[in-house]
Amino acid sequence: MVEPVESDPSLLVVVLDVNPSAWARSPLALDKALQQIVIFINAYLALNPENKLVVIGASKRKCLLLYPSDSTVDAAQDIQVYEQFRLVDVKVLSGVQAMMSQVTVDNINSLDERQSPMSRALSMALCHIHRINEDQTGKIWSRILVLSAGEDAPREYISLMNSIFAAQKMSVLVDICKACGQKDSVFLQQAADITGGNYLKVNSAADESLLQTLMFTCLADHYTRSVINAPGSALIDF
Amino acid sequence: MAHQLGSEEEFKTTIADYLESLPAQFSQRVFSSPAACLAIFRLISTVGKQLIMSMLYLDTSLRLQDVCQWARTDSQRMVRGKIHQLRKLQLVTEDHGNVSLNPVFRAQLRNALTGGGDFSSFGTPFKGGGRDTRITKAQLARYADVKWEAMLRFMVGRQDGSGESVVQPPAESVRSILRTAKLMEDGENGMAITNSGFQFLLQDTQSQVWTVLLQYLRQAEMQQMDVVEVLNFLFQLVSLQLGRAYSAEPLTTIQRRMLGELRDFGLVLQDDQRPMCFYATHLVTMLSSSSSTENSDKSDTKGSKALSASPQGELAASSSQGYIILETNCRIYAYTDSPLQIAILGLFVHLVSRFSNLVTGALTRDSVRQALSQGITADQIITFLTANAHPQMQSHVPVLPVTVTDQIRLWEQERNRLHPTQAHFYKDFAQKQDFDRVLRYAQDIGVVLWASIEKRQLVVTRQGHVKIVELVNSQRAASSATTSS
Repeated sequence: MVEPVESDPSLLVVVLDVNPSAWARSPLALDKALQQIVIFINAYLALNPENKLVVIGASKRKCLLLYPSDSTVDAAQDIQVYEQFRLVDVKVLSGVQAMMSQVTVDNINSLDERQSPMSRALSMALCHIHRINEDQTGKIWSRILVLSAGEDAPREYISLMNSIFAAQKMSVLVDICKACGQKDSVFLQQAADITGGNYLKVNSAADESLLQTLMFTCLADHYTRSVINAPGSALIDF
Repeated sequence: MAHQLGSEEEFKTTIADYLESLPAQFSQRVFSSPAACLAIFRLISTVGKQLIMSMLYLDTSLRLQDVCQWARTDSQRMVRGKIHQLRKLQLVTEDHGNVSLNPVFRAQLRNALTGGGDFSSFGTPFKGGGRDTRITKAQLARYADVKWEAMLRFMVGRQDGSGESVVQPPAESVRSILRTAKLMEDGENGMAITNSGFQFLLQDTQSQVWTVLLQYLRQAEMQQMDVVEVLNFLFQLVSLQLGRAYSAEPLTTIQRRMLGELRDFGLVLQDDQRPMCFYATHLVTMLSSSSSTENSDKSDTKGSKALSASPQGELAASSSQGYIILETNCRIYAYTDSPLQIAILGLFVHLVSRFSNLVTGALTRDSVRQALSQGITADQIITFLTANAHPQMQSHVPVLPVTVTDQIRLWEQERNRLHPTQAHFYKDFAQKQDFDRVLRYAQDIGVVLWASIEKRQLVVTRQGHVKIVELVNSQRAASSATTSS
């Protein structure tokens, strides 16, 4: 087993759950959560200039690659923020906005709508990770961060477990950040446990609590996690 | 002692040492711009970065013990060491067992991440009329390459010794940096290259630029310039975008002078007709992108250059395609016609023939030994060949044939076979116990180089000889005192 070295670059794939009915039920507002995610992404990019990033937006019917994407970004006249951060932030925010505006839902309150299928997004994430590993000459350590507000969809259990085992085989860590109040997502808990990642629940809507939690637990790469403890989860409902 | 050449590591340690030695009010000034905080953040170790990020959005201070509890049990000491390092850099303050981030640093790093604060520290873009023709990236690349190669050719050209002054000497600021960095020294026929200069030539462009910036910082310190302003400007330079016009308006006089001097190296381009406008070239912007050109080479050929976080790696990569083919019989074929690259190859390769786009030669014992005697190490030759290897060779693992790399190392070891040491040789001891006593004493003080107990002969170092003479004299005095009494 190759041990992580301090200066190895990382690859982070952020999977954002863009399901409006799920977010309507969450204690956290989507726009605030997005702002904090964007700051977290900037912090990740600041760690190491060689770090790579992929952002995927997952809604009920579609799974889109938000960054790096070919969509054009209009050049702002004044530079408000470090240019590298700005490109990423603008693409992610405009991508999520586009996805939300395309969602047309008949019955927004039905049980079916609250479920967000994650297996599609996870498979897409794993494909991107595999492709980047092929391109890269050195060793790169990959992990996935899932920000989810919806509930589990029972019919996708098998496909989800398949992607989890594939991630485990590729030694990809999967961190889960759940923003849906009281209910736990059993499948995603297993994902975090099997691959060695963290499972977090964000209940309070206090400013920047999501950001602080993410910075504290999910920012660390493989090497740092071997040095610094991660908060463990006590009970997993297998 | 070999002068350890500037690379990213040395730059980091120098900046770290410098920040540690700053008094408190100066460090507040350095931390007052988001660009500086971001650059300093990137310089510290990975664990240190994690500690800072964990504390960044906590407004209260934490107990030191709690922070140490974050670490796993077998890494506790390492984490304590990192916290101590952060304290020395004045990023973390400790107060009665509570640690918290330096408030100025914390505020500005938050600004760097969220885009608030004084965003001009990342460079103010140039607004205004003037010429319509905007400088293109290709123009910038050409300008930078011409200036940088002129400096390198100046360094190599003098080595011929034939006195030909075909090479234009660069500006005085460049020459003074070369002189103070001990890359060249003043000789009879102008400036001559030193051993460190040879090593500098074989490094990749990024390390060379780091060396120049580091030397500039040292020179600023010696000239009593305000180092804080120089540092701030360096940090700002490293985070500029390629191909964008920046205004020199908000810069201070010292920083504007720096701009003029760095222009001679090809690091920035200043428009003559609009002196307030400057562009950063790829030599500077690639410092903040991926450190090895191999990564960017491979990903660029697949056309997916948008994947890495910095979009300006492509121009640097396209100008550093490999061109050397090395065969297992030590023959070299270099597909280049640039006189600079041919001159650098000529340092350690015996060049045989030259065509319009190709130079052939061989690595012979004499050519490599000549390079070794001038101070180049075998590792540097191997790294240089690997970094500039033709893409066809790079598909092999390892890139260079093992026979050739081993042979270069063997040639280097040949020079290390004999170590002369000044010593004294003792023989013809009259009695065995005399010899034993002297041998034991010499072994106790650790100066024995060789001893033969059967032949009663001993070789000791020069310093040891003095002590043994004292011992023998004192014993002779003691024994003559006993016999006489």
